[in-house]
Amino acid sequence: MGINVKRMSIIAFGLGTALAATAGSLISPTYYIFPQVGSVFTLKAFVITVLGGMGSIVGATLGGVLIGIAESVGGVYLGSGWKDVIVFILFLLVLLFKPSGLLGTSKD
Amino acid sequence: MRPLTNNMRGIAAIPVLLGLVTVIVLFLIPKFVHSTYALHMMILIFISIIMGSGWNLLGGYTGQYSVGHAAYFGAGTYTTMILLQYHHLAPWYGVWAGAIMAVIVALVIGSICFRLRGPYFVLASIAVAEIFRVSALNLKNLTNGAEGILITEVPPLRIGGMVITDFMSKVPFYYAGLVIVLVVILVTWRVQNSKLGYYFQAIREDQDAAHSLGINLSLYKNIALSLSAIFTSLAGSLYGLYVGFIDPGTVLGLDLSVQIVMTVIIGGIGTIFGPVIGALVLVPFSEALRSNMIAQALIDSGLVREDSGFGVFLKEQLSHAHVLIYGILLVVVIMYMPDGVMGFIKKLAAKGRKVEAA
Repeated sequence: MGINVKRMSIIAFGLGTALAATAGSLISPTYYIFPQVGSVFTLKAFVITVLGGMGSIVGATLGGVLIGIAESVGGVYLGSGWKDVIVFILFLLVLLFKPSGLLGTSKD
Repeated sequence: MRPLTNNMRGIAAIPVLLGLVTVIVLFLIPKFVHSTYALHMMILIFISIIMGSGWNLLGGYTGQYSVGHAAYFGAGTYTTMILLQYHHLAPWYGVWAGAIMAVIVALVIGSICFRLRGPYFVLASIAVAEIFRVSALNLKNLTNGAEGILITEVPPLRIGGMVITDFMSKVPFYYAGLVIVLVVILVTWRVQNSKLGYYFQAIREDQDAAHSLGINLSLYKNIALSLSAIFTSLAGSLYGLYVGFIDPGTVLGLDLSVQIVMTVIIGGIGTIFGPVIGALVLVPFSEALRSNMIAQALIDSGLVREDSGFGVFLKEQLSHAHVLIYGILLVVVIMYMPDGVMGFIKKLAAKGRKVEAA
């Protein structure tokens, strides 16, 4: 088809990295920074994308908002130690009942 | 006809003989090697082989890439250690309780996660392991939270009033590890050459096709996961008893899950000896990097002068960068040996044979 696959992958990867870096810069005023700070967010980013539905713009936004609210509300009612558990249980429940994510369209 | 069969028997006999000799040598090592450091390395390698082979049964043969095996490792070791510490149950019973616990956990996780496929399954398995880790951190009454569990002594093993071993030195742990390694290799071999193994491999190759041929997917995936969980929990219990200290970060963390998967991928996924080779490569390698052996070797060999700027830099900084170097080497191995070390050796052997034939 004449599409330079390697070039496109590199552009997509670069754009994604740039967005993640932006998110990282924006969170730095309110979050403490240490060398391993990224690992927490790597997993969370995965969860948000899959929860919303892979390849869906609205889905990723919705997933992000949902996870954020679940984390804060869970933290208030169950204690901050349990907030990640709430997020992962929510994630598992969504996957169980809608394996392609909330707004996902893939058949798998 | 007769010479041909004899010849074939001769070929099959060589690996069997080699294996027997290796096993005998391994059993004799503690009699002659008194260096505790060497035994320590061997025990770490054994633990790595056991958990790698456990994962291999699920990931390598059944094709379900779980990156949450720390959950079973932790379930096993926490059960054993809690029973020993708070209920004074001797570990050689506790280990089995740990294995049963891991199977129960595996069946619960399996019934939830096996409906998912591909990346969704991977993520779900990570999520479950993280749930376990955070729970272990927060259930302070049961697990002692982030402080972890420290055992000061393992009670001596007695059979009929006779003390078999007192677990004071590293030798009993060495033998325990060796026996479990032999069992897991035997089980992998049996599974690979049995109907069960063919079911597993059919699921790995194409689960829809396997399903249409009448293979009960969730049943066989759960069997694979349970087998895998048993060995992973045994590795966990051995680790807990040997090191004497566990906390949620080390025995339930994502790092451990990734390390288990790495061992198998580096060695060769879906092969009996893949995890063995992976452990033999990775454990001594990370240890060598950590203990600055490589910098010392470079200086000793005269390649780098100790008092030169570079030598000082190597000596002071290389061990700090061990995780970095480890990571880079893993990437290089995966890029240039996509089938792992086993696959690479097989390819080399095939090439050699071709050259011979030509």
